[in-house]
Amino acid sequence: MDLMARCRAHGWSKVAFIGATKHAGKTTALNGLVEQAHRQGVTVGLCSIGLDGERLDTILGVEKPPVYAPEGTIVISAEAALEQSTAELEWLEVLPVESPLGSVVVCKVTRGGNVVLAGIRQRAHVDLAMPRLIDYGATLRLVDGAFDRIAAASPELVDAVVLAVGAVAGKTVSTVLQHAQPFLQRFLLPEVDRGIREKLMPAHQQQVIGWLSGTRAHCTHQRGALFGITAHADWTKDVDAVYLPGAVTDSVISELLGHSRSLTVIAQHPAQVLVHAEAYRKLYRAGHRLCVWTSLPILAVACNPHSITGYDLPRQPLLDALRAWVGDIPVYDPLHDDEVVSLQHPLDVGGDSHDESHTRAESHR
Amino acid sequence: MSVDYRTQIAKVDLTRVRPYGDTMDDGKVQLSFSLPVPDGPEAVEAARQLGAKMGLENPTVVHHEDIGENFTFVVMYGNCVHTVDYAHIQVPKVDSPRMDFYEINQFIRECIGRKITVIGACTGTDAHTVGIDAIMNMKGYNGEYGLERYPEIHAYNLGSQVENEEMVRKAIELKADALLVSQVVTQKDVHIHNLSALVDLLEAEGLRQNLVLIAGGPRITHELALELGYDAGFGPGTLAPDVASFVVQEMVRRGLA
Repeated sequence: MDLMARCRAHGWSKVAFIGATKHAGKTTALNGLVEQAHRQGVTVGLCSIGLDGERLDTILGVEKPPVYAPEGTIVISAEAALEQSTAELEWLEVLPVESPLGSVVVCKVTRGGNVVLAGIRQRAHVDLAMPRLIDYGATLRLVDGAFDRIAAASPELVDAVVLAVGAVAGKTVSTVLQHAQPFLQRFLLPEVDRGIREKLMPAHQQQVIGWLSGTRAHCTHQRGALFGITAHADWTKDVDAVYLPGAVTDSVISELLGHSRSLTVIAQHPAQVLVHAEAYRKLYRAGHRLCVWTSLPILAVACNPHSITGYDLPRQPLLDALRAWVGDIPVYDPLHDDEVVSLQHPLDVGGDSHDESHTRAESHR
Repeated sequence: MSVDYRTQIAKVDLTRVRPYGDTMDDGKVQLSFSLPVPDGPEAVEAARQLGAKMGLENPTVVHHEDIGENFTFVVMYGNCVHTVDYAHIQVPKVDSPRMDFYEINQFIRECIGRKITVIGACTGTDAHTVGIDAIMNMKGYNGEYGLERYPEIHAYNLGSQVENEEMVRKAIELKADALLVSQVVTQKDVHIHNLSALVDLLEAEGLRQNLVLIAGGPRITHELALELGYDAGFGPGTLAPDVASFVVQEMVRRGLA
C-alpha cells in the first residue's frame, strides 16, 4: 500500500496513528510508513502522545514491535526513554516540555535503530513539537498514539490519520466491527453545510457554544457543554443547529434528544466526538444529525487480523467489511499489504439498518 | 586447614536471575489456581500437565481440595527454567523527592502561594474506594494523614462509581489543580478504557494542560500511566505524601503554581 503516494497527492505531511484498541497495530503501521518514506528519501519526524516503542507491553507483559527509526530520522522523546533506545542519536535541542521521564529533547538518528518515544502527553505538547520537527528537516511528521486515545486526531495538529483496527477487540469479525464502528464513525462525519457555517462563524472563532434559530445566530460565553445547553435562557425550541467546541459526549447527545425540531449538532472536529454507538443511534433515530466543523481525512485504515492474545480472525472478510464501511479509503493489513483487498459485501455489524444507512448517507454528503 | 564458609555461599548472577526456593538458582516456584473440574486424581493430573505446559520442570501438586460446585483448588511447586537480566532492567518510576506532611504544606506556602485543590475518585463502575480513601481521607493510612488533613490542600473525595464527565464537571466547578483517579477493578482492562477516556475528555474540554493528572491502583504502574497520557502512576503501598509530593512539585515544574 503506497501511503506515501497518497500523502503526496493530498499534500498531507503530518499524520497521527490512532488505534481502536491497544494492540490494534498502530506501531506496525507506523513502522511501515517510516520505511516507505525512508526508501523514498523522505526525512521522517517521530513523536508519540503517550509512551511507545517500549519492549514489553505494560499490561500483558508480552513483547511489542519496537519503533524503528532509520538514519536521518528526527525524534522527539524524553531523556530516560531515549536511554533505552538502540538507535544512535545526536542531541539537537531541549524542548520547554517538562516530563516525569526527564527533559523532552529533539534528536537526530545518526545510526538506525529502535527508539522509545515518550514525554509528549498532551495536545499542547504535540502542537509545540510539530514545528520543531520541520525546522530540523522532517518533511513527514508522524505522531504515534497510545491505547485507544484519540487526542492527537485534531486537524489543528495533523493533516490526516491512520486508523488501526485489530482482532484484539473481539473474537469474531462481527465483534471487532461493532467495536470499531463508533471509533471510525467520528472520522466519517460530514462537514457542516456552508450556510450554517457562515452564520455560526462567530461562535467558532470565539470557541464558544453557539446556535442558530432560523437565520438568527446566538453565541454563549461557555465552551463546554457538560453543564448543559438547553437550560440556557436563550435556548428555544426553534433552534436548528448548535455548535459545540468542547467535548460531544453521550450525556450531551442525551440532553439534545428531546429537542422538538430536527437539529444539526456540530462538533469542532472528530477528536471532540466521544460518543458511543448507542448514542449515535438514538440521535439519528430522533431525526437529528451530527457533523463536524473541520473533518480530518483518513490516510488509511490499518487492519490487524492477528490478536496478541493468541488467535487470528479471517483476514479477507475483516478487510472487506471495513472497506465497505469507509468507501474509497485504503484498507490494508500492514503485515500483508501486498495482498489485493476486494469489496465483497457490505458491513453488517448487527446494528439498526436504518441507522446504518443513515450514517452512510451522512458520511457521503 | 580452615575454610571461610562465606566463599562457599553461592552468589546471585544478576544477569541471570531466577526464583530462589531452597538453594541459589533452583528456580523453585509455588503457584495456586482453581480448575473447573471435580477434585480427584484426574484433577491433579490436569494441574500437573498445565504446569508442564507453563514451562515448569517437575510440576508437583502438593495440595488439592474440593471447593464445591465441581471445582478444585490446587497448590503446585515446580522449577522455572527461565532467567531474566535483572542488571539491565530499567523501570520508569516517579522520581520526585518525597516530602513529609510538614514539608509539603510549607512547599505549597512558599512555592505556590495559595491553597491547591485536589479531587480524587474511583471512576467508571469501580466501587472499590479503599485506595483513594487511604490517600484522601483525613485519618489517612499507615501513620500518614490523608490529603483532607493537609491545611494547604482543598481535598475532595468524590467516592466511587464516578463517571468521567462528572469528574470533569467537578474539576471545572472546583477549579481543580490535580485529579487523582483510582482504578481497582481491571477485568477485561476496563480500567484502561476509563483512564484513557478521561484524558481524551479533558483534552476535548481544553483542560488537560492545566491539570496534574494521576492514576493509581493495584495494577497501575508509572509506565502505564505515562502511556495513557497521565503525569504519574502510583501502585500498591502508595501513601498521601507520595502523591502530594509529586503533585506540588509537578505544579511548580509546569508553571501551574
